[in-house]
Amino acid sequence: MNADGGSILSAQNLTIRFGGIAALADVTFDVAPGQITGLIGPNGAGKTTCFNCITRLYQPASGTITFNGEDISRVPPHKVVERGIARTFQNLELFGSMSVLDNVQVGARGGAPQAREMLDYVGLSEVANRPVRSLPFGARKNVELARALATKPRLLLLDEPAAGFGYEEIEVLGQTIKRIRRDFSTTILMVEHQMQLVMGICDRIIVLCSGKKLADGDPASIARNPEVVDAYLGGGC
Amino acid sequence: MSLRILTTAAFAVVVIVLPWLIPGFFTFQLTYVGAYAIAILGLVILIGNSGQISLGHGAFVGVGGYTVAVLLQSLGLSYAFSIPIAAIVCGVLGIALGAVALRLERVYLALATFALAASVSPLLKRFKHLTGGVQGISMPSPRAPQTLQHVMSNETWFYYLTWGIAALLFAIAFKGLHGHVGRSLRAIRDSEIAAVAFGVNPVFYKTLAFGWSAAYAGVAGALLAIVTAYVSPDVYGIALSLTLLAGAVMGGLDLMWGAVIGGLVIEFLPLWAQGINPALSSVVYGIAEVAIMMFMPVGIAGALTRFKALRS
Repeated sequence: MNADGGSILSAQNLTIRFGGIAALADVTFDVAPGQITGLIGPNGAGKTTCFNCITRLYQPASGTITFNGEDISRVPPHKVVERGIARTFQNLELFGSMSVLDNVQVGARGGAPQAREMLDYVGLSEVANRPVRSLPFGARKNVELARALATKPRLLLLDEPAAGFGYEEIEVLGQTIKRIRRDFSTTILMVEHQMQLVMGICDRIIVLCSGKKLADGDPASIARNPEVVDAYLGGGC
Repeated sequence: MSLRILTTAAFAVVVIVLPWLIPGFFTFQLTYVGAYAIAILGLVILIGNSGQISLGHGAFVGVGGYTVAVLLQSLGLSYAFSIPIAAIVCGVLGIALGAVALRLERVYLALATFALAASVSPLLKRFKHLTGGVQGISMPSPRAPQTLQHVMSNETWFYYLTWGIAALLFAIAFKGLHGHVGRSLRAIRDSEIAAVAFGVNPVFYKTLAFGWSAAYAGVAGALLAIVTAYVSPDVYGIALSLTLLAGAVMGGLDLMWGAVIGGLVIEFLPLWAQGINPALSSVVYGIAEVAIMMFMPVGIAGALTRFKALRS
């Protein structure tokens, strides 16, 4: 439990190894409801691995994940979305041959009307019937967002939402993420490298480095933390 | 949407009227086309939508054929019972194969299903007491019910039965593939990890696709056996599996009505090739197949759709 008096997601002592390398070693953190939490760290720190453990794509060797008071460590991966966890992917994982609408409808709680509403929300109603692969990169990222929102998530996991975006697009993205938190009263956990975005919108930041948790705190304290600065400047962890 | 209804209705009219305009033997051939179309539709579901390959669907056609032959001949059951039973038997076997297929991908799955196709005809020869061994099982030709005897020929009656069943199975496939099930199958095909993250159970849907398509192959096999009035092991070799696959690919794996085109192609293309040069018929057939795939890589149905899209 963290200082804010509650957590919607709690990872306890997560450890997972890939061929002898500990991708996560005894990582413990909490995510407070209603907050935007940033998960940062150098390449290979274990951020996406962490997401994959939460969404049950990976089975941690040890440790537990509690969501909304329920231990989800044994929940089958395709049942995670029912619990209220939805995600986007670092490298887009859309259903390429399907229409934009069909993409969003997979997993949509309220079927086609709900899917249309979400497309409207991200501004893609006009292209609802186009094949998703015919869309430009930025629009496809928004399809992923709409698809996740259509599941009515209580926790939204964003894996590098700013990847491939320019300065101005990142400004807009930051506004969008804050708007999503407000409009859907959802909690957001976000993996991101783009410090402008992370420092701008996160309430709390968790820093991973080489599979271990390095630091955990508000943006100002993280920015001042000498260990974090060292890790980012190549000093190792 | 209304265009789709219009073309479907026009096609239905053609199917209904045709037997009254053409010679009896042609009706007989078109009955084969209907049965092939059902089997190929199964492949459209499996390969086109769920993205799993099968080089072994001829095996299910064989099991369907033998099931119906045994039920009709040894147990004296009617078509109304034996055809659905053939579908169920093949559906269950398909689910079993689907469960194995979960552990295999692409070329390995192709090889495993190929082995299945190769094993059917030796197995049929081995269990003589049930299958009649190399001699197979003969059945009486289909006969129209008493009340229809003076209205239509036996060929025409069975033609209608076959195309009626095909219409039903196409309608089921249309409903399934255009709804939640089809979307889930295609989602798994396009990105399994995203499908899982959005609530699709890949084990369930992949196995379902195998069972569903095998059941269709079983019905096709039952109809082919009845219209031929004979089953024998060598009909159900690897060649049949490959012919069905070729029909599915040439017709167009993405579109349901590609299955009808595929049925027409595998029934009539070899005959056409025979007419061109009886000595080199398989060479002509092969060249024609290569030509279709070169000029219409998405199949004939896909090419027609693209042509229509280009014009509008």
